[in-house]
Amino acid sequence: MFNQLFGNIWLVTLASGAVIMGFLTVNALFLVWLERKLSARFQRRLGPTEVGFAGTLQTLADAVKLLGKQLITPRNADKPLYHLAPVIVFMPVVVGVSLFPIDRQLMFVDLNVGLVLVFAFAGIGFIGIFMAGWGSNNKYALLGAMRAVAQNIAYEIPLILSALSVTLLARSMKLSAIVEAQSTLPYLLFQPLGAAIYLIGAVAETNRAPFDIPEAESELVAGFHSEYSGMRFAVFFLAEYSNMAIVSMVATTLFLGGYHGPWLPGYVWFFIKVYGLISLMMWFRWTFPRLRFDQLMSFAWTVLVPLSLANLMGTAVVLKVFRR
Amino acid sequence: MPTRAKAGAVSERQHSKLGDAPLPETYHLNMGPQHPSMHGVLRLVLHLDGERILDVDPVIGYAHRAHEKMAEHRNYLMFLPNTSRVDYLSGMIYNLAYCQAVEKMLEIEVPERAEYIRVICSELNRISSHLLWFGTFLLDIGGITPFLYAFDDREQILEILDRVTGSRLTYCYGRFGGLTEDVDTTFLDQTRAFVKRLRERLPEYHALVTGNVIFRGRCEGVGVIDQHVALAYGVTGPCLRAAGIAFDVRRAEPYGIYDRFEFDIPTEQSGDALARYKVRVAEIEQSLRIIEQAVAQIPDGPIMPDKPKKRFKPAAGELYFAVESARGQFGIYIVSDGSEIPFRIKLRTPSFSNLAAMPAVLPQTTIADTIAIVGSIDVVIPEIDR
Amino acid sequence: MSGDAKISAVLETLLAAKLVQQDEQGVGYAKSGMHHELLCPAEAIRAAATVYREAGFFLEMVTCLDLRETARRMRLVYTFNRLGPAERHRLFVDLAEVKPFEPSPNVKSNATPATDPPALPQCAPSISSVYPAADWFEREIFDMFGVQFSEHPNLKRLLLPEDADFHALLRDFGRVEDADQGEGGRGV
Repeated sequence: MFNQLFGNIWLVTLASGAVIMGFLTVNALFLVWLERKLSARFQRRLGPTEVGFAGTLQTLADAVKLLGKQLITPRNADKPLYHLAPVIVFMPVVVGVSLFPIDRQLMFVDLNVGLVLVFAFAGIGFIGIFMAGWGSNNKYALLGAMRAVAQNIAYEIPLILSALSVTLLARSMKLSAIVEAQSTLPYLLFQPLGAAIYLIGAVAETNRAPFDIPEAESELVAGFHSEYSGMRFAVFFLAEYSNMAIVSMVATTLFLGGYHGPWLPGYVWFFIKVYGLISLMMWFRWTFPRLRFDQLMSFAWTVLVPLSLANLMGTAVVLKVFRR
Repeated sequence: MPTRAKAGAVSERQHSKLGDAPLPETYHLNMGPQHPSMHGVLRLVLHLDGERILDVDPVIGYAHRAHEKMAEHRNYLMFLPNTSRVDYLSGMIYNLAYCQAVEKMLEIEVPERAEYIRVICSELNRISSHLLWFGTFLLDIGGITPFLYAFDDREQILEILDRVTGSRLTYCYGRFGGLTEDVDTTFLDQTRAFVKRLRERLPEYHALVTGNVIFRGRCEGVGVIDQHVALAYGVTGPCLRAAGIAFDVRRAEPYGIYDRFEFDIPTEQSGDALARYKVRVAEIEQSLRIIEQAVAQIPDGPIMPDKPKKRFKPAAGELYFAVESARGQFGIYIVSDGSEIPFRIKLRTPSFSNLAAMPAVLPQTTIADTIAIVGSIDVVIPEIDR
Repeated sequence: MSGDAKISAVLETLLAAKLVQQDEQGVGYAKSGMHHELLCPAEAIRAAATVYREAGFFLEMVTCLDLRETARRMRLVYTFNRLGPAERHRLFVDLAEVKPFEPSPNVKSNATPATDPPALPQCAPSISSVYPAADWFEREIFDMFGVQFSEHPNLKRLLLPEDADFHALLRDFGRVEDADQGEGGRGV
């Protein structure tokens, strides 16, 4: 009976989907709380303290509040695009999470093109952002969407090039194989430049400060999601925090040796590394001012792209010379 | 990268073409009056090509409260509470400036002690205004944490002034001839402690902000108001000093007892947003110096004349009285017809002229620069609209 | 003071060109805050402003006084100052009244109105081509007093609503309080 149940591919898919959705929701709730607490400490404040132990239930209360809010659709919005956009932004994230080896035996799908798939799905999210900006029929939203697309194209190139250097080392695009190849030493030691480029690109990919240009609050009000309210807005929020988790999972897998680590169980190491990286990204946000759009673009095209190309070429040459 | 507006743009300045049909590739963006970075209710109608600004038409008046009209139907004393509402960030300076102007018309002598307290409170008010500007400017360009740091320090000033004046923002501390309340030793101790505290905190500000690469990238060469533009538009205050002209009313036309204190007038040469930032931060230090001297020298004595006047009825005539507010030259032009009610009070507010220069500065910049530039000139909309 | 020589040079230029004349009512800096109090005919104001601009003065303020009740005229007040030790010049420009004064029950009037209106120009030339700063000042005066400026590039309301049909700082406008209560005043 048990075997039969797990033999049924549809049931397994459904169950995995439910688990991932649950994880993403809890993850977002936790990250919002973490961000509030961390930002409060950076700013010599206390952050939420009232709801639950140390304010842990504050985000849950906020989620309930968002559920109760009116969903406003602008009169002149392009309705199909406007309604579909939050879904398109969020769905790739669910697929993305299923690809990572959380522990030696714990991963939902192990594909031999796992790495390609992660980046492919990350790219789909931006279509959703553009749909949101275009469909809202709001100039601020459209400006935000235009910025998001331009930024995504610019930063995905160095991101993928730095990931490619790792696949050269691991000789595989299978995420579990990449992790296994780091059982002794993490690739961070062999690819410090690649890791740095990846980190910068990852912050830009998730639209986090100092690269939060598509939603730059002081310039574009709220950018592409200006016109979204209630749960529709919450879905964008959920996607943003889930995306932070995904780019950190990629970084953990590619550069930090995934679940490898002494003493503690593998999945603990995995999550320590993931949330450590997320905390680092939060630290950036609460320390730096925002770049200007043209500075952001010229940084990507004139610094990051050449550097990541050089890194890739260097890795290839070194491997060709020294590896049997 | 778009080319920046250069000097000489004034003479070739093109006035708003918003009435014309827009070109196919360009569009208008209504920034404000409700917008997170428009500092109240400023509205900029931007004519844009993508993110590049072709033309800008500032629309003001959303916070017009008819202060000048109100003055014509109140006697001199009844207009006193209005003054600090004109610019709520340097309310103390405005309030005392009006007192000084009326005192000059009525030839009232102000006791020494009151003059010193006025200087201390004005300079505290100036620092609090600059600190608020520091925080909101950083907020405009995306740095959230410095805002909280600045507000932490500003809160100390508000509490010190709250204790003696009874209000946190819209002070009505001055009276014709002196002040409402005397200060005690606690006030002086608190002020000394605050000077010490802020001196220790300023290096932290520099470490967090001034040296930051992103911050410099956002400010350097952005929104240059050069001497030519400044003179043409009557720009005063830190914006003028950032263009290299050491003009400060406290020196040019000393009022009160400002001629007794040693302080420098910080200037910068480049006239960009970074220069304005540096000038304001340096001014905080100079204000601390003035406060320190005033606290050390303050004499004992009364804070009001022995026989205060009961009726204020200046002779017919006119008076222009200028002070240096946190944003530039604030002038009060009073015309008296010999009655107890002013015939006309005109308030020459610095941000009015500073903002008027924007059409010469903003074209050919980007939306992000607009926010940084408008933030860096430190406008207070109620002061522009009066 | 070193500035004095230069000041008198500016003033001499202006007086020699007959652009301005000394205001005999003037009371001097100690009482009025003005170093030089001058009268200027409307048609000469742009030429006078050009002299100030070339001498490095900035336009501190332009405002208007509604003297219809006592002298049946509008009076523009220009102040120019130097970006250095203060040297403030005030220029009065008299214009014809924008409309006859109508005493209202809410406005106390103890003045005896002059009977015959003097022959004065209807509007002043705009000096915004000399001092761009004047653009907004002149718009505000137009907004609040209804005074017209010729050759102003963009003479529209500045502070009051675009569709307002009143000029709020005229002496017979009424009181702000009345506008609040909807009695007598004509506020929005």
